[in-house]
Order: sequence, then C-alpha cells, then structure tokens
Amino acid sequence: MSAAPRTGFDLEAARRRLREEGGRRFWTSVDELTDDAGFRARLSAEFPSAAAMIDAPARRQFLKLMGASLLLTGTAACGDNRSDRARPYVDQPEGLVPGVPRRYATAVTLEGYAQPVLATTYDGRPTKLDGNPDHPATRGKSDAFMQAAIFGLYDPERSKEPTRNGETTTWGAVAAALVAARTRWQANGGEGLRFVMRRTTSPTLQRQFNALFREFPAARVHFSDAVGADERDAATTASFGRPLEIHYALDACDVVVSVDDDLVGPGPQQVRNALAWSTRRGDIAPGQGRTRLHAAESLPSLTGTVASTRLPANPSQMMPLLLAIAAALGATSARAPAPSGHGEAWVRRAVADLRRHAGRGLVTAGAHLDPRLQSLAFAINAHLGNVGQTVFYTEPVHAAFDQAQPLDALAEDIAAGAVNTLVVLDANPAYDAAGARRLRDLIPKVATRIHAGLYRDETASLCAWHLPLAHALESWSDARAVDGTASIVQPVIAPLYSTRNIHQIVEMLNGEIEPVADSAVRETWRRTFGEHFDARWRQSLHDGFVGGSQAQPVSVGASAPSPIEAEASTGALEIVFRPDPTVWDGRFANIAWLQELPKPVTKITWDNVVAISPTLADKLHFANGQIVEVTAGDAKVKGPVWIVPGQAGNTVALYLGYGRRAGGEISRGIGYDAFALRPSRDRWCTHGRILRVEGSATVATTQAHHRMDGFDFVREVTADAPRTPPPKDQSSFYPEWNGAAHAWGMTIDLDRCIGCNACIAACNVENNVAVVGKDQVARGREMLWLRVDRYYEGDIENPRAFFQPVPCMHCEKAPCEMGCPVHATVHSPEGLNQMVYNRCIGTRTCSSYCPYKVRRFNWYDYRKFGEADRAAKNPDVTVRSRGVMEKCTYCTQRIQAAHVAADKENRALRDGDIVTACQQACPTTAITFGDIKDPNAGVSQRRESGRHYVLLEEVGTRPRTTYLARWRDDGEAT
Amino acid sequence: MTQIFSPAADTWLRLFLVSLAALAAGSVVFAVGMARSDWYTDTRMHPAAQPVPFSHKHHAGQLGIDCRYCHASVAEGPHAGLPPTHTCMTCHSQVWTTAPMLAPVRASLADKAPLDWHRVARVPDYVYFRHDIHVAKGVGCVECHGRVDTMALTYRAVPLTMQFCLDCHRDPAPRLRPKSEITSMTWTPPKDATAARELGHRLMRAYGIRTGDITHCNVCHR
Repeated sequence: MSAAPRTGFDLEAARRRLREEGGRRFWTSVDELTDDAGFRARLSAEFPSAAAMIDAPARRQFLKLMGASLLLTGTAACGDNRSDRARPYVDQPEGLVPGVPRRYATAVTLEGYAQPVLATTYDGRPTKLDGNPDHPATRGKSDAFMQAAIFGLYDPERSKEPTRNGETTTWGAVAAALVAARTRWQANGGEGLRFVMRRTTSPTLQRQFNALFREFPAARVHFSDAVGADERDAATTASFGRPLEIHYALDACDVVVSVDDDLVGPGPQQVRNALAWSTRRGDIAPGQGRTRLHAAESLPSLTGTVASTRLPANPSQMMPLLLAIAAALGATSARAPAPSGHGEAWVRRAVADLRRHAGRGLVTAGAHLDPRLQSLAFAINAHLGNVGQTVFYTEPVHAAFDQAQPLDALAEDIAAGAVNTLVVLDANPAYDAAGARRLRDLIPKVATRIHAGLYRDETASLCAWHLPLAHALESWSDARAVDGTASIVQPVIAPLYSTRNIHQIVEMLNGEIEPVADSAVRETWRRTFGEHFDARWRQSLHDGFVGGSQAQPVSVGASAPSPIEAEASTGALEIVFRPDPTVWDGRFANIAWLQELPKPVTKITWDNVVAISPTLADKLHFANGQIVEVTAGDAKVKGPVWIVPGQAGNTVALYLGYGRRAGGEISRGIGYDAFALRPSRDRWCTHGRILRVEGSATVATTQAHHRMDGFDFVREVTADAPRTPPPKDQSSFYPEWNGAAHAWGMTIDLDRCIGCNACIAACNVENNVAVVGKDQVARGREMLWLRVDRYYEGDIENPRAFFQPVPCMHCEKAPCEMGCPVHATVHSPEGLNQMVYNRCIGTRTCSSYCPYKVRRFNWYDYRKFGEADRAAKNPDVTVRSRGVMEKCTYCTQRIQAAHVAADKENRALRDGDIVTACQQACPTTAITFGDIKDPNAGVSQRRESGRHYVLLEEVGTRPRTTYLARWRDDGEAT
Repeated sequence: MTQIFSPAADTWLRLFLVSLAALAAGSVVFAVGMARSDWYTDTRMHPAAQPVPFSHKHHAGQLGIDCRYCHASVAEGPHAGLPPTHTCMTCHSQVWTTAPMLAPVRASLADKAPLDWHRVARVPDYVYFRHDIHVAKGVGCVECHGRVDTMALTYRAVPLTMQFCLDCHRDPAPRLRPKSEITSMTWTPPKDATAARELGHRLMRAYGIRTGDITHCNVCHR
C-alpha cells in the first residue's frame, strides 16, 4: 500500500474498525465503518434535522428569525378557515351512511397479475386498499405497490383528456379517426397494424383481441415488458415443450435452495411466497423441523436476509453452483467444476439438506437467469421427487396470443417500412424496452401512432394520438392472480377525468363508437357463467374473485435439461439489472410517496444508485455518492456509486425505473436511465467497465436517521439457547397508572419480518403521513411513523442482515410525556401514548426525550395539496399542520371505531376487533396487536413464546411494543 | 442643574405601573370572559343565514315529524345527516308546491345541485364527534341541540365547548334518558333529585357506559 492517504473506501480499515469494537457489534452503514468525520459529527448533533437551517454568520440572522418567529407564532393561531358549509345529496344513494366507510372487493394489477384488494371508500372516495382476506392466493395481505395504487388513482399529473398532436380533442374525434382507420385495415386485412402492450392476464382482453385478429388476420401484437418472464417461459418451453407457470409451495418445504431467486422480494409473487414461507417457518422451536433456506445471490435481497445461509456469488458463478448441486445429487451427467472457497461449503450444506428432505425440498433459480440454468433447477426438483409436493406446474396464467411477436421484430419491421399503424396500449416501449433508444428514433417513422396510457410518457410524446386510460380503480376489467384465480375488477369511483378503460379502447378498435364501460367484461363472463350469469356475476363481484378458478396443476414429463457446461469466467465486471424495489420498472415513478419509501436494503429514497461491492470499492477507491460512469458496449450511464455490504465482489447493480424523460414532474430528472445500457438479448446481465468521473451527489438515505443509543437492538435465539433472558426488574419512581379494562400492546416477530415495507406503506396511507421530498429526507425529516431499521453484523463482504420495524413503543413510563410542557402527549387509561395535535406548540422536547426516536416533526406545512390529493386522505385522521409533532398512534382511530361498534352492541371488545394498518398489511404476520391483559389474545401468547424481549430494556420505559427474537439456524444441518 | 423630574413624576410613575397591572389583569379577565361568552361561542345568538328559512318549530314542533325522518343516519353513523333534497320533496311535491320560499329546494331537484346549508351545531375539525354512539347510549337530541321544536330559525343552543363535552363525559348520569325518549323534546327526568340520580345510574348500567376511560384525549381527538 502506498504511503499517500487513501481516498475512497478502504476495506482493511473498515475491517479493522469492526475488529476493534470487539464482541457482537451491529452496524448500519458503510460510512459508520469508514469512520468519516462528517458522519460522526452528523450523528452526534442533538438535532441533525435542525442543523442546516441557519448558515454562518448566524447571530444577527438568528435574532431576526427569533423575532419574526415570536411575532408569527401569535398570528399562526389566528384565523378560522373551517368551512361551515354542509351540502346534502339531492338523491342519496340507497344504503349510504355519511361518514361510514364501505368496502368493495376489486383488484389492481402488477406485471399483469391481479392483486386482490378490498377498497375502503368514504362517501364515494376510495381512501385505502387492503388485501382481500377471502382470496386464496393472498389471504388479505399486501405489498407496497398495492397500497400505493390509491395515490396512482389521485395522481394530479395523470392524463386527463384525449389529445392529438398535443392539442385537446374529444373522444368523438378519436372514434371518427378509428372508424376511418378501420376502413383501411379492412381493405388489407390489417397489414401493417401493430399493437404494443404489456403481458396481460385479462380474459376479456384476450377475447377482444381474438375478435380483432379474426377481422384483421395480418395484424400483430408485440409484448413489451421491462421485467416480464421471457427467460422463465424459454426455460419451461425448453424443459416441457410449452410455456408453463411455476408455483412454489413454500409452506410445504423443509429446505429451500435459492439460486439468485428473490422469492420474498418485491414483485407479483412476493405476497404469496412470503405468506407461505412464514406459515411454514411459523412459531416452532429449533429441532422441530424448521424450514431452512440456502441462498446464493449476487445482490443482497430480502430472501438472502432471511436465509439460513447466504452466499454472495457473481452472476457467472450461478451456473457452476447449480451444476455442482445437480452433479452431487446425480441429477445431471454434466461435468461440474468444484466451486471455490465458501461456495464449496454452501453447496455441501445445500446438497445434504436437499438429500435428507427429498420430496420436501425445493431448488429455485431466479426467473431472470439463463433458461438453461432454470431448466436444470426443474430437473433437480424432478429428480428429488419435489414436483407435486413443493413445486407445481400449471398452464400459463398470462393470456396467450397467436399473433404475438417479440418486440425486436417491431423495430425491424418499422425500419423495413412494413408498419403503418402503431397502437401502444398501456405500455412504454420508448422508455423501458431494451432497445428503447432505437425505438425512439423509429416510432416517429410510423404513419399512424396511437398511445393509450395513464401518463403522457416517453412513448406518448412520440405518438400523435394520446388516449388517457382510466386507472384500475376506475375501471371495469378482469385479471388473474398469481395462482390463476380470476378476479372481476370493478370500479370503486367514477372516472375522475375524461378517461376510458382499456377494454373500451379495444372495443373502439373493434368498431364501437361509444362502448359502455362494463359491456366487454360482462360479455366475457356471460360466456363463462352461462345461464347462471346473474347470480355468479354478483357473487364474484361481492367476493372479489371467481370461485374455483385457480390454475390446476398439470403433470409434466421430466425432460433432461439441455446440456450445459460451466463457462469460464472472463473476469470482466458483471453488470446486473434489477427492477427498482419501490418504483419497479418506472411505471410507479410519478408516485411521490413510493419515491420516498426507503428501498428495503439500501434505505435510499428518491434515487437509484450504482450499487457496488465493498471489494470493488476498495479496489477502485470509490466512496459513497461519488459519480461514476458505467459503460457497456457503446452505451454509458452516470450515477452515484453506493457500496452495498454483502454484494458479490465483481458485480455492479443498476436499478431500472429512473431517469424518466416524460410522464410527470415527480418522475422526471431523478436518477439515471439504466435501460440505456440494457442489452436486448440476455437482458439481466452484461459486461462492462466502471469509471470515476467528476462530482458527487447527495443520496438521501434514511439508514443513519433516527438512531437509538444502546445495544442489542436485535436479538437472536439458537437451538442451544432457545429463550431470551427473563425480563429485568423495571422499578420506577413514577406512580403506576390506573389501568382500564384493556391494555393495548404489540409484538413484532423478527423471525418473520422480511423487511418488505408493506407495513410502512399501509401506515402511510391509513394515517395521512406526509411526503416531504428528497431535500428534506436528506436532512432527516422524513415523516414515516414506522421505520424499518436494517442492521448488519459481521464481515462487510458477507454480513448477516436484520430488519427491525420500529413504531412508537407506547411506553408505560414514557419520557416524552414527562418532557412535554403543554401536556400535548399524555397517557391513556388503555396504555396509549396519545398525541394531541391541537395542544402541541412544537418545542420538540418529546422527540429529544424519546430513546427510540419515533417522533416526527412537521417542519413545514406539508398539506398544500390539490383537490385530488385531498380526496385521498383518511377522514378519520387529522391532517397535521406545520409545527406539530406526530407519531404512531397504534391506529387509535381504529381502536375508537372498534370501541364504538362494541359499545353500540353493548358487548366487550374481542381479540381481533382491532387490527392496526401495519398488522393488516404484513404478509408474514410478523405484527400482532391486541390486549395484553387478555391471556388468550394472540399478542399475549406471542409474549409468552420464550423469544420475547424489550427494546432498550435498560432505559426502563416499559414499552408496550415488544419484539420476538430471531431464530439463528445457520449451523450445520440438523 | 435643573431637575429633570417634576415633583409629580413619582405619582405619575406609580399611576402608570398600577394601570399597567390593571390592564394586564383586565385583559386576562376579558379574554377568559370573551372565550366563554355566548357571542364568541355563538350560542343563543342570531341564527345563521340559510338558503331556505327552514323552521324546526313548524316541522318538528307543530307537525311533530320525528328528528330521524330527516336526520336519518343519526343512529348509524358519525353524522346525523342532512336530508337529501328528495326527502324535502316527498312532502313538498304535494304541499306548498309553488311557495316562493321553497324555490331553492325545487331548483336543487331540477338542477341536481345540492342545497348549500350553513352548519349550526359544529365542532372544530380536530374533534371527531359521533352521533351514533351518543344515541345508542341514551343521550337525547335536546341535550346538545336544545329545544329545536321552538326555534323558528335554528340557532346554536349550547356552547359546544370542550368544557361542555367533558361535563357530561365525566358524569353522564344526569344527561341520560330511556331510549324511547331520545328524540323527545319535552321529556324531563323525575322531579325528585334522588330518583333522577337513581334513574341515571340505572341507565348507565343498562347501557354499559364505560366511565373513566371516555375522558381521555383520543376519544375525541386523533
């Protein structure tokens, strides 16, 4: 090493720091280990969030501000802006009770799959989505995308009326143009007519397109999916002769071996897999047949975090690893090179576990991996007799189209002049296709260009006609969930703008002038339901799904995988692409609220970064936030670099969904466009170079915010020590409270938590939590009531990671209550630490007294919103104004509603009457809420589980929110 | 050197200090008195201007129409509900069909535009009041809305301050009545104080009213 002081990340120094501390040590970020002076100063500041407010020279300005503040505090209290108007209905709908929410079963979609929801509507305005508890696939659980759909609906930047060349036009004009176009298509059988859309599961869309193709047999459809399942389909086709859908029964698995497959990570399968995984993992003691999860992955994922053993491996190592497993199990005759170092031990354990649990095990390979690799995983499962036990194959859930062609063919045909009409339906190929750059040049060459979508996005700006689509919550449609169960999508609100749903637009292409919103969907199901149409239609709308419509397993012949050999690694940098965990492929980029949701692993908001491994950072002397240029072929992108502990050494990760050029103010101008680098073949991985360029960027990450002082935040139990230490004596000088009949408490099971953010998402929607923007997040002012802390333990190259959701603890001896000078935060007889906004004067004393740092302050008036956002607010929760403190209330509005409902019936509250928003959303049932005085309540039973512990027990606050320790089962197979 | 202060200066200073203290004390008394005054709480003052000069005295008093005929959701939801125009027109399509006073109601029906009323009994927006639970627990309409059957034009009868709410939440017994009398404007508890108290406590037991934990903040503020 040279004598000159190093700049950038130093792996040795970081390791040294880890060693110096001695004993068990949790750390949260790379900055902490590099011991950056600025970082330490930021942490030690009493109010890091207030630090940046006044610049030096400050005294004079400080006095000015103080004076102005004193004057203005008085005036802020003045004024009465309440409306005293009351406007009754002219003709009140039957059964509507003002102020009482109604719930409708419907569905939103992700990647074409239905996400079944129950929509809560107040006086006709949907305000909250929850999972549909009766649905066989999701059982009422949620993910962040589904929770956020409500903000997609109310997004004020959605397209509001049809336009032609940017000028507003009418639907009548659109119909006239389509009638004229149809005459042309009829003359030549639709020659040159091309459709671009995303994969769909809608039976109605399939039926409509079949009708369209009967009339115009020469027309073609191209699927444009940034994520999709092309590699999965290729793999099943290679193995079984036709594309098949794969269903994992994680609840039946004793052992799962995941080769770069983020089973419980973001995506349409997340809820089902997480639910099944947690069901199997359950609350069983070590030695009683735990499910073990062995994960090899390039990027730290949620699956890797909860895995028993985790192996960081570059994408090029996946093939040797899986080959080694297959060879050891005798599932392949291919020559398998011995994996190196840690890989060897990992393979040995995986093989031993798989062999011991043949028929109760599962090998999965990521849907983005080389189809040959996936085929090999199918073969191993067949070899072990897992098929039919832990893995099932069904016919594809997505609709198949005979006239489907790959998107590449479209570019070729446009270039050849063979396309005269392009109809893009709810897709954005000019942004998110692999060859988007070429398409952007080619699309304007097509004579007639029609785009239908929610936003005026990149593709819309290339098309003459733009037809605004209705949001899923305004539409009649249908879709199938991941298990194949069909849902009829019913609108929960009339279209807010002059929009039409996708089926209406296809009907217009089919020759209708004024298609009715639900006619196409009704027609599809009239054919399916036959003479029982009325009854079954009503029943399906009521239930939210069509009973008994799951995809049925098919038996497949176990065909040998195509012969493969491990390829020698070239040593070039491996660049992988992933959909962003909060904005996905960019379709959610204009939802501010998803932008502000911290990404599960990196805790970054409002940005995508170039994620690199500590090893690579050490080699190249990169530090967090420095701008780098990633080059592959002749394409390059620039973005801030971010060191991700646990990432495979030679891997660089780029996240899709950012760098938008159109589609709304919020989405534009943030992050880089990873699609620029994405190859059209082998879409998920490429090779290239990375170079430091001038400059650095502020990346707003929440990982160092709201830090607690203490130790042992997360605890673990093992087979040898299956119980947490008994609670310590918590004596206090303060008098005991006189309790009421109930004592509310919450337990959070760290063994089940997968860090998926569904709880934060649900909390935000339920409690009208404000979005503050990147600048404010960087100052530590994010408003999330519930944060999910992520801790690392162990070596920086492959640390063990832990997630810990931290809501308000509702301490029985709450320091915040002692601190408040105006009694704005007080204790309720039921043990709630209540926040009274209208008393709060904003001294922030409570926040500085809070050892858990769960209080959030309204630094600005975040309420400035338009009509549309206003409608999205939960009317049962105050929308907080500037200068008041707020925090988790245990969903006190739900507690009061349950009290009122019980009191009206003159009965006692029952366990389960009150479900907090986070608990309701959690796909793994990690959160339990209830009355800790009731020994039979779920929450009391969890407190008795032996894994129970109190966060920061040493401060003696007697929190009502407590935790269950995580099982540690990374030892040799038991 | 001439004197700066005249002989009376001391007196003036004392007088000034005393007036200052008096002014300060007076301001406090004035502010507190003001906050509690009928003028500030808008109690028993002039009725608000309404699009139609609706008379509760005529409808509820003279005609004896039950409160729930128009305020239909009072027992089901948080809001008592204002009658939709259709409810008005159930009668007024038959009687007073051409009365000029009712022109806004007919216009509302014809234009499908809601009538734009001013709320008389309203609480601040940080108060989450629910009608249904009060009706279920035997609190009569008259307790908060006064004798609307005698009001030609509706005005606020009680101050609806936090003090007013808490008085009852701390000691509900004197304000309860049998459920059959919820909408009655004329029901009174027994004259005998002990009997009245006894009835109140019996009703509290029968309705299962939770005492002690209905005074904490989150019951009304959240």
